[in-house]
Amino acid sequence: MGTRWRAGFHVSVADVAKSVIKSINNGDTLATVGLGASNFHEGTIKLATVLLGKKLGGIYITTSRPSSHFIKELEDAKANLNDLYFVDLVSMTVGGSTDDARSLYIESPTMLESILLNITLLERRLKSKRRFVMFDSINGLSIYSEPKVLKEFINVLANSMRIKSIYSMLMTVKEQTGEDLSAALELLSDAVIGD
Amino acid sequence: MLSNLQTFGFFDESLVTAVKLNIFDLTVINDRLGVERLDGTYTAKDMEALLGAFEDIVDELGVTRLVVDSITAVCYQLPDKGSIRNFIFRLSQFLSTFGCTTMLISETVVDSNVQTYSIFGVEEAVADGVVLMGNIVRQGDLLRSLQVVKMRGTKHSRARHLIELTPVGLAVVPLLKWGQDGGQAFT
Repeated sequence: MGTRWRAGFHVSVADVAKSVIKSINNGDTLATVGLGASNFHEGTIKLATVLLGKKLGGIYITTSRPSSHFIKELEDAKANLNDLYFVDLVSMTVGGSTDDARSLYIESPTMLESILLNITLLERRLKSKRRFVMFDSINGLSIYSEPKVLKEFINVLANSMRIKSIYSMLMTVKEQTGEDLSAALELLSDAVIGD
Repeated sequence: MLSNLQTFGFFDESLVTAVKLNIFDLTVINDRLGVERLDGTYTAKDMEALLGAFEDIVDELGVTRLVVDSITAVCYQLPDKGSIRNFIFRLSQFLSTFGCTTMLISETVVDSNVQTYSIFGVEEAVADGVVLMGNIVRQGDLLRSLQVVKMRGTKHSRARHLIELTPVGLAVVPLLKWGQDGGQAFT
C-alpha cells in the first residue's frame, strides 16, 4: 500500500495498465491515474478493457462523453461488457440517449452526491468479486463545480470507495491538473500512476 | 394518487388489493360524518367526530402506520392554535395506545431563506420527530433534501442529506457542505 509510480517522463498506456494491475494486487483501494490529453481517451478505453479482461466487474463514471460512446468503443475493442455499468453525467445534460439498461443517468453534473448514490445502486448489480470504479475524469467535473466543492467531493468519494473496498481509479488529464488538485489527490490515494 | 404511485417502480399494487395499504379521502370522511361546514371551520363536536373516525379506522383495520396528508389541511379547519394543539395531542395519544406510528405531512413556508417546520408552528412541538424536506439550489439546479430535526428517544444524524427517488425506493446520501449556494429554496 502507499506505492507511488509517478514517472517524470511520458508513460505508455500499457505501462499504466500494468501499474494498475500491480496496484490492485498490492491491495490498494484508491489510485490517481494520470494520462496526457493526447492519449487520454484511448488510454481509458484500453485500461477498462484490460481490467474487464482480468475478470473484474466495474462501474464507469463518465463526465466527458456520453456512456453510449464508451459502450460502442469498448465493444469495438472487444471488451467483455457483461459486468460493466455506467454512471452518465453527460447524456441528460445534452439531450442524448438515456435508455441503456447498463447506465444510470444523472440530470446535471452539479449533482455530485447523485454520483455516490448511483454507485451504491450499481454496486448491487456487480457480479464479480473483484470490482473497480473508474472515474473519468476528475477534470471533467471541475468545469461545473467550484474547487472547494470539487475537493470536498473527491474527499467523500475517495473515502466512500475505501470503505466499500472497491478499487477506484480517479482519472486525471495531466495538462488540466494543477498543483493544488494534484496534491489533494496524492494525499488521498494509495497509488499515483501515470503522467 | 394511486395512478401517481404507479409511476414508481417500487410501488407494489398488491398491497392495495391485499388491503395492506388503505387510502381514505378526508372530504369523503367529512361528508359521512356530516362535519363539512360552509365556513370551513370545525366545531368541538366535529373535532371529536373526526378523532373518532381516525380511531375507528386504526382499530378496525389494525393499522400500525398511519399517514395524514396533509395535517395542514385539517389544521386550516380548526379555529385556533389551541384547538390544533389539542387535536394533534389527542390524535397522538390514542394512536400510541394502538401501537400506531403516524406521519403527519405538514406544509411549510420559506421566510427570508429559512424554512419553517409548519405553517401554524404547533405540529412540530407536539410531534416526537420532525423530518424536514425541501429543495436546495445549486448552480441553478434543484436538489431534494431531507434533514432529521428531532427524533425523541434516539440518536440520529442532524446533517442535511440529499434524497432521490430511485426505482428501488428512496435513496439518501449526505449533502456536500460546500455544495449549497442558494440556501433552502422552495418547499
